[in-house]
Amino acid sequence: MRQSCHAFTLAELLVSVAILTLLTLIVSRMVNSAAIITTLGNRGMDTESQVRPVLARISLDLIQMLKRPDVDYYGKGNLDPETGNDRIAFFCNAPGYYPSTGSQSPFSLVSYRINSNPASSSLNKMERMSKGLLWNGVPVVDTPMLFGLQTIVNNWPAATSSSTSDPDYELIGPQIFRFEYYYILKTGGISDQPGADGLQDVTAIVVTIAAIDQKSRVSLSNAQLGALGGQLKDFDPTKPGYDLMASWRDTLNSVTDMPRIAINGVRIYQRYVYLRPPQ
Amino acid sequence: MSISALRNKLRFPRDSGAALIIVLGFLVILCTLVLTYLSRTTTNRQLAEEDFHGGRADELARSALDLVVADMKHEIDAGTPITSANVTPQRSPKPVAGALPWSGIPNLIRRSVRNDSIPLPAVPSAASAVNSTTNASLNDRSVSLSRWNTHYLVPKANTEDNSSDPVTTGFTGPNYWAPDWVIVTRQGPIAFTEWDSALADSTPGNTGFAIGRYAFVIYDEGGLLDANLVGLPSPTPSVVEVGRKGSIALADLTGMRYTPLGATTNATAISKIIGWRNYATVKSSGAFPSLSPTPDPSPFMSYFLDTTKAFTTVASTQYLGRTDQAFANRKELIEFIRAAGPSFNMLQFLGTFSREQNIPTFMAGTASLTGRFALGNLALLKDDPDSSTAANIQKYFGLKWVAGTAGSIGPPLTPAVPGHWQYVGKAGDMLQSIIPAFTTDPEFFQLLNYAVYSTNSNDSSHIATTLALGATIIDQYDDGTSADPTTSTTSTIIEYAGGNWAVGMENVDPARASPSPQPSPFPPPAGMAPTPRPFVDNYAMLNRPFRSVGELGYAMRPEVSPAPKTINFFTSTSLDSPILDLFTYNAATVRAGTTSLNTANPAVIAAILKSAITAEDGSSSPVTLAQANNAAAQPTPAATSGVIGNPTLGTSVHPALGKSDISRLVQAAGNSIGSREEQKETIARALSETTQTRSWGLFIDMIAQSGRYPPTASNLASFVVEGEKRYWLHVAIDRYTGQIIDQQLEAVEE
Repeated sequence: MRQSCHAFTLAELLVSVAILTLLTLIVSRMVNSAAIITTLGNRGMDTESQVRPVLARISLDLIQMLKRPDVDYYGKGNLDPETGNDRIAFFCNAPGYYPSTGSQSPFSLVSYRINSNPASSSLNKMERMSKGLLWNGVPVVDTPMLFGLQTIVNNWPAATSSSTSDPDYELIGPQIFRFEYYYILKTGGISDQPGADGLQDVTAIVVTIAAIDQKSRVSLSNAQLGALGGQLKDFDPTKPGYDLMASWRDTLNSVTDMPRIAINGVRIYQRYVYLRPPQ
Repeated sequence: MSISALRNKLRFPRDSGAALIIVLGFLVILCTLVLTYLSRTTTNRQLAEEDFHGGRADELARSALDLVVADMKHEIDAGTPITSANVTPQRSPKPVAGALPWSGIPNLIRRSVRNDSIPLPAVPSAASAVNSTTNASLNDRSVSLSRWNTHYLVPKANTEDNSSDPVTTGFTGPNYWAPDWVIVTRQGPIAFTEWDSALADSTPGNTGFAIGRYAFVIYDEGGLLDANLVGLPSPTPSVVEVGRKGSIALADLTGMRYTPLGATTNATAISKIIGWRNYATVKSSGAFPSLSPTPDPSPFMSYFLDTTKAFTTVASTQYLGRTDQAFANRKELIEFIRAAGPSFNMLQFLGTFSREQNIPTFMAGTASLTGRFALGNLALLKDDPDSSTAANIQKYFGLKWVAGTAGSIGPPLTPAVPGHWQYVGKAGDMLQSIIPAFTTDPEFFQLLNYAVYSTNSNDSSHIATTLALGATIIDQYDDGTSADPTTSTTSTIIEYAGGNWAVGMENVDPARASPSPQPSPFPPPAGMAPTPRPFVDNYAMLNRPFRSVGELGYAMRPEVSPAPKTINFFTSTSLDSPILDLFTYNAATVRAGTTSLNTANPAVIAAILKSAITAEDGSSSPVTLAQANNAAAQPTPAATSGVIGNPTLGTSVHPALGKSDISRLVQAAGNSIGSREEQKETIARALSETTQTRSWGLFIDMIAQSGRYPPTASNLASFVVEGEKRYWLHVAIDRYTGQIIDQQLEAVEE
């Protein structure tokens, strides 16, 4: 029986190889694009999933802040303009980490900061302190709720420091490296000063944070991240209509001394937290 | 082709199964990846939605509070002229006149309710026919009565435990007093009596689409005792120190009957509050929750009787590195009671926020007063003052000091002229023949004349009586020992135009000529002119600073015919009663601690009255528990008398417009404390410095839910709740100006 021999011609082979190459190119580009989009989406989700609860927590804490003229708070103002990353500390009607003994009051001392201690594993990361306070008169060494001005800085210095460690600090935003806030006053103006009567003059606090996704963070050293945070300028009340978020975006777009892929992983968030009831 | 050949052709080789496994493996990995991605995105979406809906609920709650407060301000704006019918917020349901406590909810002002028939000028609540307690939402959300009462402002049904189960007495089931929902559409709150399909139609442009709902209850926090001030330490200060009252801090909380059977708390339980709250001031010892104030009551008394303190902030004193405390919000008060006692039933009578502008409400003529006259200014009146004090004396009293001149036996015989005051008005040196007109910022005598004669025009008719009344008030206030070096008189003497004199009243005056054996003329050598007034039997002299405006009732009106009598603070027709409103012991411009004179809680009035002294000389006992409660609302079995309960004069039927109404309320209490004027006026002395009528102290309990009606919804209950927020808003609104004096927003996390 004679066997027939079937084979492709050279031209056929060349055409098919060309088509295959073309198809491969197209598909690889599509896959690449999809991969980039998916990666960006994942990074965005990654950051978002961390920032959203942090902002919610900040809102909840600020809403439950004790806003009496005789109750201290530590924030940006005349005494401390807080250049760079901001800090805020206040007494809050929320539970915290209480001492192991003693009757627990419903209040805690809450503070937020971006850790600036180079020796800390939380360097350039957002931390929250929630120190549960005991009732006044409980016979232990732990300081209870105190009234009067300057009580926080005098009695809980770690709450107002960006670097002092305290066991009641917890890492709340490992991707958040920049924290800034300003005030909306009862008069309707915006300011980095709370007003003559302190928080009694403040209608809302506007919290702005910058966060970087995990993968992008890996490509930046702590020094670079610190420098990047430093380039994101403080709120400037002297400029009418100042838009802090736009300022930060412009800064990020103009960064040239760091990997663009990492800079693209920085996201900016802002939330208005209203402190006072309607007038 | 044969069948076997075909079978062979179709049969896979043995190793071709690996490809299938690999493909399936890839499919599994792909599916896992997809599922993980979907799971993650779903979780993130849920988180985002929760955050979003929470934010919407928060905005809704704040907007709703804004609306409710605006409605209250509108009620104030529309409620003119101010009468007893509108001086307090309209209540819904309106309490039954003369109803006893325990028959309802004394603190309840109103709640959102369907077919709201609240009387004008109040604004109806726009609630729909869907109840927050009995009509569960489509996703089974409802608010139980116990949850509505987590603030414990409604009396507890079970008075033996700590639960927040409220009474329902006086209300019809199944809703009882639970508020109805106010449905918020795209165009705002609208009341629906039945289902409207537009509520579920999310088509853009449909303004009837529901975006959320809220329900609220408003309570009279202004009618409660401010837990940041009230309560006595144990051991208690002396009977006299407590009994003179003058501060809400001296309210005796053991006078509060907090159960229908009349249970009361004990002094030790109350003292724990002071030991914690005023820790540094009273130098507490012991350990929480059983802190004990120092046995020395003087720090406590000095702190609360400081006339300059507004008590809106705590003392800055430190002791053992710790400070005084305050109940920063209601939740803290509740947690304190849970941790340290006393009874949870006390919570219905205790608030944490109170504010009052220290401005009188009494009005006559064209006067426009911006504050009450501080009785402490009377301390300025010392003989022969230095120039600085003299300037203040003229500013506050219109008086100038003139030294006395010695008498001479002559001839001619020239009687001595005692050191005295000249009434010259607030400016200049000219002796006045009138009480000058004023519009604002009057001096003492202008204000006294305004109070008693209701005029702020130039008044020549009453200068003698007004100056004499003022002089007797000064004599009650001063220590009565400062004698004029020329004549030895201790009486206050005021000269006015025309060679006229107004003389005060000291019952012990060395310059008064007694029948015998005194030389004549007296005092030697030439007598004096003018002379002290005659001794008056049984005239109680305080000879100390006043502790309250009510103590002005001890002062004599010497020029009143047919016979001198003391200022009248005990009858409803008294013309002296505006004095109670125009003067003040505490001089703070905005202060905390005063409770509403129109409170519906007899226990609040009883606490203020209990332990008040009924006679300056101690001839009768301080007010007892039974007397205090009867003076508030005598229940036999319906209220027959009392500040609140009197069926014709009490505040339950005739709310007080101002503190001048206290005289009426003293009459309303009848002889519940005693039959003598001094005993009756115990109520005026106790209430005058501790109560007010200017402020509406409101506690607004607001629950707002964001969400929607699904397209399949068919009734008002079919709401899908997506987010919820609860706030307690403490707000003090000036009834006379509509101004929000102060407010405190308390986020409630449950």
